[in-house]
Amino acid sequence: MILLLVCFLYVSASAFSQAYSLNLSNGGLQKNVSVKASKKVINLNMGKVTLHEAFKKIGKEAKVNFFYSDDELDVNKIVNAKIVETELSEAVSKLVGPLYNVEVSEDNIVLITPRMPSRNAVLVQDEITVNGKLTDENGHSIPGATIMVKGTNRGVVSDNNGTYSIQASDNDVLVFSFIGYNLVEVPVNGRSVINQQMTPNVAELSQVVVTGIFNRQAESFTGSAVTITQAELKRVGNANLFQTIRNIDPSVVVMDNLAMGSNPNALPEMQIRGTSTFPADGSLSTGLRGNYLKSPNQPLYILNGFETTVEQVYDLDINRVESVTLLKDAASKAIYGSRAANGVIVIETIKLSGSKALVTYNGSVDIDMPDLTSYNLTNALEKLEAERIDGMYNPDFHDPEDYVQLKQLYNERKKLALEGLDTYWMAKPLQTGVGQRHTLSVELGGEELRMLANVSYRDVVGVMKGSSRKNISGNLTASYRVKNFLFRNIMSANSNNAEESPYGTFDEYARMNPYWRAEALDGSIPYYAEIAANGTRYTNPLYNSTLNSRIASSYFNFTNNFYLEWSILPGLKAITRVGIDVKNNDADEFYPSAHTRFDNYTDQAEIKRKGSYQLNNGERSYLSGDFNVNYSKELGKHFYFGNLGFNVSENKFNEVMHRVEGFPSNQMDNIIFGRAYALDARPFGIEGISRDIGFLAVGSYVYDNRFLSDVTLRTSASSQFGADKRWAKFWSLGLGWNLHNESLLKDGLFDQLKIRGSVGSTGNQNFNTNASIATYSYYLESLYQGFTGSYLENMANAGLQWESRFDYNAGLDAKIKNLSLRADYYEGYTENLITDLTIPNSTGFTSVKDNLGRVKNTGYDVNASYLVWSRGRSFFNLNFGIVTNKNEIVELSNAMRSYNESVDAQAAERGNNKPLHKYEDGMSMDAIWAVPSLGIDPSTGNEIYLDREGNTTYTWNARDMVVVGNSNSPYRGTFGFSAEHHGIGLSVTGRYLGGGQMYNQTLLDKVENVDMNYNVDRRVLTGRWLYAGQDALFKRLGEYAIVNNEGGTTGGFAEKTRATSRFVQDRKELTLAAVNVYYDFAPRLLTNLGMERLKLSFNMNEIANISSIQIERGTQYPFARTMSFSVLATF
Amino acid sequence: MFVKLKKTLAGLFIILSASSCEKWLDVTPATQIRGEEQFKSEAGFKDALIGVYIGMAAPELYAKDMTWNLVDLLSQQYATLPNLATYPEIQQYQYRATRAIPKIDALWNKSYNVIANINNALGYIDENREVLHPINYDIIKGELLGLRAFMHFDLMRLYGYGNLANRADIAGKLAIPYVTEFKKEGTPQLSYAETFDLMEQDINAALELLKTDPIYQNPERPAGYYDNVNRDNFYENRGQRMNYYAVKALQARMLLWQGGIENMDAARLAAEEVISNSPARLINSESYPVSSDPVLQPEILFSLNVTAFDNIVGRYLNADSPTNYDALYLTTAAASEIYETANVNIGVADIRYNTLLDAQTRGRVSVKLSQNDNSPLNLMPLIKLPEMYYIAAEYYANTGNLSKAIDYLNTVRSSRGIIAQITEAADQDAVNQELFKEYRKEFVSEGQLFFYYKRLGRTTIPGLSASTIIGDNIYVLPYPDNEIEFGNR
Repeated sequence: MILLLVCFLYVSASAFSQAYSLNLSNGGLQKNVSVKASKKVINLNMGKVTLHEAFKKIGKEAKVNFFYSDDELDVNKIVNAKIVETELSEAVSKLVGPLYNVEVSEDNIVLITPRMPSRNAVLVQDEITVNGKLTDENGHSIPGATIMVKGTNRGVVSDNNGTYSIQASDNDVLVFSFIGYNLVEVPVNGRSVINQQMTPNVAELSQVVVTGIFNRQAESFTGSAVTITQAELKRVGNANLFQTIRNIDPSVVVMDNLAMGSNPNALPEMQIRGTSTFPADGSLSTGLRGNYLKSPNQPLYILNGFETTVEQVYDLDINRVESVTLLKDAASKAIYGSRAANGVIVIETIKLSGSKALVTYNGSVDIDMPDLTSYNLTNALEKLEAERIDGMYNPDFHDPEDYVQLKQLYNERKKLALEGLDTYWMAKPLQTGVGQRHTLSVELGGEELRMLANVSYRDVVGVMKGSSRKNISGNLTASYRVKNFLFRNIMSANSNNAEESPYGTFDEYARMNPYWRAEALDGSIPYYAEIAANGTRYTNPLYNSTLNSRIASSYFNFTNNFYLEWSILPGLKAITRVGIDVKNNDADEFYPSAHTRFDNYTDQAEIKRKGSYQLNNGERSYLSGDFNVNYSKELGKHFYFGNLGFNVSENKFNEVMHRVEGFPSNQMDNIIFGRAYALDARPFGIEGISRDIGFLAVGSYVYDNRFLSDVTLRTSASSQFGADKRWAKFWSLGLGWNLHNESLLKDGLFDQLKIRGSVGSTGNQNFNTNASIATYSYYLESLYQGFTGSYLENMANAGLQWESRFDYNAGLDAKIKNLSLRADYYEGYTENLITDLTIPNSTGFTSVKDNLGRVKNTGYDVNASYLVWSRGRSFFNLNFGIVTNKNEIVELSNAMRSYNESVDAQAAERGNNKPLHKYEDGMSMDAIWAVPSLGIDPSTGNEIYLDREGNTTYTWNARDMVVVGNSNSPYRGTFGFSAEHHGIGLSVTGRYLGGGQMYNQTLLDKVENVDMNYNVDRRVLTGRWLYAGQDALFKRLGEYAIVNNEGGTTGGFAEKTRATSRFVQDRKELTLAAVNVYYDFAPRLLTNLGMERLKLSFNMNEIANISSIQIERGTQYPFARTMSFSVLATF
Repeated sequence: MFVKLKKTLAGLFIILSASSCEKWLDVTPATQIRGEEQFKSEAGFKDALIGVYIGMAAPELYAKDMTWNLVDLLSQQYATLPNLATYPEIQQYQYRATRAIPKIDALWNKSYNVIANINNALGYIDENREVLHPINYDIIKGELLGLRAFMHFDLMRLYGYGNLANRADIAGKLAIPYVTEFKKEGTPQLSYAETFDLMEQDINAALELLKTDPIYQNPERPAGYYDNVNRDNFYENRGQRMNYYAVKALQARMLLWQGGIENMDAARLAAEEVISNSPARLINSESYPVSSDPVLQPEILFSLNVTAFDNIVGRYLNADSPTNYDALYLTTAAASEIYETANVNIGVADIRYNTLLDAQTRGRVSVKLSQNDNSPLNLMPLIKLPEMYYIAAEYYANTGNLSKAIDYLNTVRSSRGIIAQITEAADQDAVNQELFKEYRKEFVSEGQLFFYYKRLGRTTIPGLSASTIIGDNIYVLPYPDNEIEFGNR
């Protein structure tokens, strides 16, 4: 696949480059025919004319021809053509200015070529002092901007008040530049005062690396960071940031959630550059809805300089996002020290843009359509046939009564099926979700105080009926400038409401037999889909849709971020920031007594327990503050930058959950009507508090814009770690070389050629409990002589410290003509993984949390984009990205032995049907462990395994498990193009991955681990072993009995197929991830309407997925394709 | 300007890196109680102490396996368990069987977990002595030390060698680790002698401290001495806690376990002190309502209060149901043999036979621990007075003072209602044989019989076929694998 794709790219690239070279030759040189002339004296008195007219006149008088390139010399420039008795070449030179060489050849040709800027080209000219002031779009002064005389290396920097003073000659052109603003060239034309207002440049943003603490110029930065602008984000999808970032940078992996599919309320999980530590213990958060616990592998999210949560990023209105920066290597992320091991995602919201009042409206209609292409279920007749073959209608002990009953059941079902009953259950709970989004932002204010207010409403409607996620948010950004102080405040409030479908989960429908009725003939919805002849009843999940069950959660989130910037001296700035983030959440889960889940509550005690309610309440507060001083100075060829900082934060959360049952009436839908706490339930919850402080020092030195270096030192302390290891140091060192600024390469092929490397360490503290100290709990069930007692909960480890990650990164940034290339090689070593270390049991505990082991991640990130063609605003751009990742446990397994043993035991349980994670040296953290299978024995229908000695066996044994695959794809990437012409834009983005494997769990569950009473995959009918001699893909079914603790046995459990290599399949996938079409109305059309901008766009997301594995995707909630129509209008 | 800024920054650094900052970082969620917080108050120490008892009353320990189930199965008093039962491998001494390992390991692990709880509390008790009233300090620390010795001693009896006095190879062997500190590193093993020294130190220290125990008779104590510290009745029912006489009895047990005449003499002394000074008294079978108090509370020196004991024990005491595979009962034949029912003056008269054994369909079930539905006692006796009589008797029997030995035995026998007394004419072997019979009769479902066999190094165990070779393979339980590997045992 990869090869093919590359070929395609190459072919199209070369096709376009041909077109391009043709284009070039069109814009050729102008040539006039020659006569003769040598030393000539010119007199001219034309006043202000264009250069072209002046040349015409001189050409006529002196009988010469001019030779120049239209591209290099603007002949429509107005010049003062007043020349008295001047020699020809000197006269022309005076006209065209000092930036051009003028030569007169013997055959009367005046050759005008641009003068190469060089040091000895200092012109002996009358110099004047030009003064002036630089202001931004709001009229505020810009200190620290660079003012250069064009074509020379003379330059100054504006002072604190934005004023400057520079020596320049009459004909010079001044170049004003400042990070984030458009470059302006202003001819001096004899003026001695030039005040210049600069306009911000959004595209310029990619020239800056926003680290969230300070901004760095991309050209001189040695880290591996990727900045993505809003325009780029919107091109690859507009649903949420997770969806879009993965389409841009393939090193960001959003983990597959085959169960949750496109559920708008399922938070995505993200990883950058591989798995570095153990997954979280899921049992901790069962039933909790507040999302307060962090996943150990998740990156750090920084929103406007403050740490934020996955949920906040997920609910963030994409229209508010100005840029997203991914910090991937040590040099870029080390400023976040102990929190940055998994990479950092820095998000900045839109800043105040111009000096005038603006009203922007963004609106869109989003359509979600279910994607069921991965399902392959039997229809009514096929299902019946499968049941018949399976022997469902053969009595157990040749009991005649049984026989009659079963035959009756079969005939009844067959009759219905033949009559044409073939219920398409999967469609029942589904809908085409139509959601909408509106964002209105207003920008206003005067010279000193400016504000940006923003209100947005977003309603995501899922494909399961009744499932939705609504966000209403308001934001207010204010900025105020007084003398050297800049105050900025961003306040934002978000109210979220998430509802799950009252229809239940999708798998309840997918498993229903097609010969069952969802609706009775009179249109009513029966409680039972079938009451079989033998009395067995099957509940109808659709019945639940008629009830007032409610699964909803909501939260309110308020954040306020305050910034104070003090420009103390030119280049010296102090910044204080204080952030408050509070959140309250609650959730209700109510099932009335009539719900089908209580169907088996039959005895007197259970009937009273029908109806259940779960109520969650939680809150979080996060306070954070930091203080940074930074200083930058340019001295000749030396550029220095330094930053010192201090930060402190506190994060507190708690959530309590109550489960109550016994709601006799469906109308009683409040928890207060419940009879009692659910059986064996108590109030349950989590609580957490952690505090951090840290110091930061960053230094950077650049020589001549050629040699670059960055150093970061960070020390932080956290309450989460042991008293002996509370403080940890992190550091990074980055070096870079701008080869394109070397004189050798300066005029060559490369617009940019930078090599860079970095090394350093960062930490991970995504852990939820403090395991370093001994803590006590109280016995809740037992008393002793009426007294309560407490017990030690864990073994203390005062030496517990951060997980740290050591990163090496080597990278290359190149720009050759229209090709931009960015490549990185990385090696990351996660050390001191926090895990359960087995200790001698005589210590009182079997394990202690300790730092152990090494996990290695290596890989390449390569991103290339090729601008095939561009003219003005029109362009055609191709892009391609590939990343590889190899994960290996370097040393761990000894410590994990007891864990692995417990996993083996779990895997060996006969009711277990899935492979489990094991950790062994030399293997990947994402390895799939299973027993090698040789297939199905044609004579018995049993599976033949290969044991560890290489012998064949029918017995599954956990000790025979080996690594049979890797669930993390070794390579993945993106590709696509974007183009715009006359305001119409089109971009298409695809993703691909391959090299890895997947355990086809859903196939296994629907073919082998099936309950034949419910619907199954078609392959049950075609692929399962039935008779001796059959060469089948899937084994026969068996049953087993369990011996329980009390010594009794319970039988008749369907034997599950345990982890076997038979269901490990190679995974290659190609996804058409996003298509975006837009039309940007031309400004001249809009002025009549009084509008600044009007843009219509159409997005389609997750349009198609081609996979080498036939796997049911979206088991509990189907996947969806989304379409969205949006409009952007600015007034 | 710069100077000022530098000064401010320097000041900031100093303030923040000072100790106040370390303190600020010392936070834990309210649902987690830091060890230090726990022991900042008297109530915290009391809760931790009670927590130790609740820990001991777990089914893996004294509420089941350490007493009437696992350990008693080893002594072969119960009828053979079917294979569908939970513990048949234990009964057959297949310690390496898949189902036996977790039970044997749990016993070890949970015991050491209780010890860890004791050690952490002991670690703080001297550090935070000022928060405790002196009486509280003495009794709580005394109980903790006594419990530490008690737990280690039982581990030693299970996982160590028996018949110590008569084994020459013991000197070169290492005993179980005697853990006195709460830490994540394993404690090195010491020799048997050194381990017993540590145990004795704990016992002696406990005895000294527990002279403050209200159960210990001290005429010099002023009236109202305990009024202040016992407002909440924390020091009532001393029989359910590690009291002075429980420690004394433990001392007797431990000395006897070490064996040798000197130790036996010391054990006898301790036992006699308990017999004469402790408030415990042997019951009189004629007047005592045995059926309504089958554990015989007046004889209890140390017992545990087990919450909802019936849930743990009830199921095992039902030999009526044919499918209750785990039922623990004595076959009718075995019961007759043990209690000598052939002699009406011995077996039938014995309350241990006629009242404490319940004839059910499959056999005779010991009802000592059976809980009355209406007023369950929830008591698991761990040390009872008759054992002290036996210890004394054993010493006298082995030192030739037979009449004294017979006297002690007869006292217990008559308390149990046995009419026929041991005659003065009995020789040493006969006395020891009677002692052996007493052990079998008295300790049904109390978890002491196995240790008696092991202590004596008996090569035969009643109920086992003669061909079974009985030695360390049966008497010594294996350490958990993780203990061996990660503790370098």
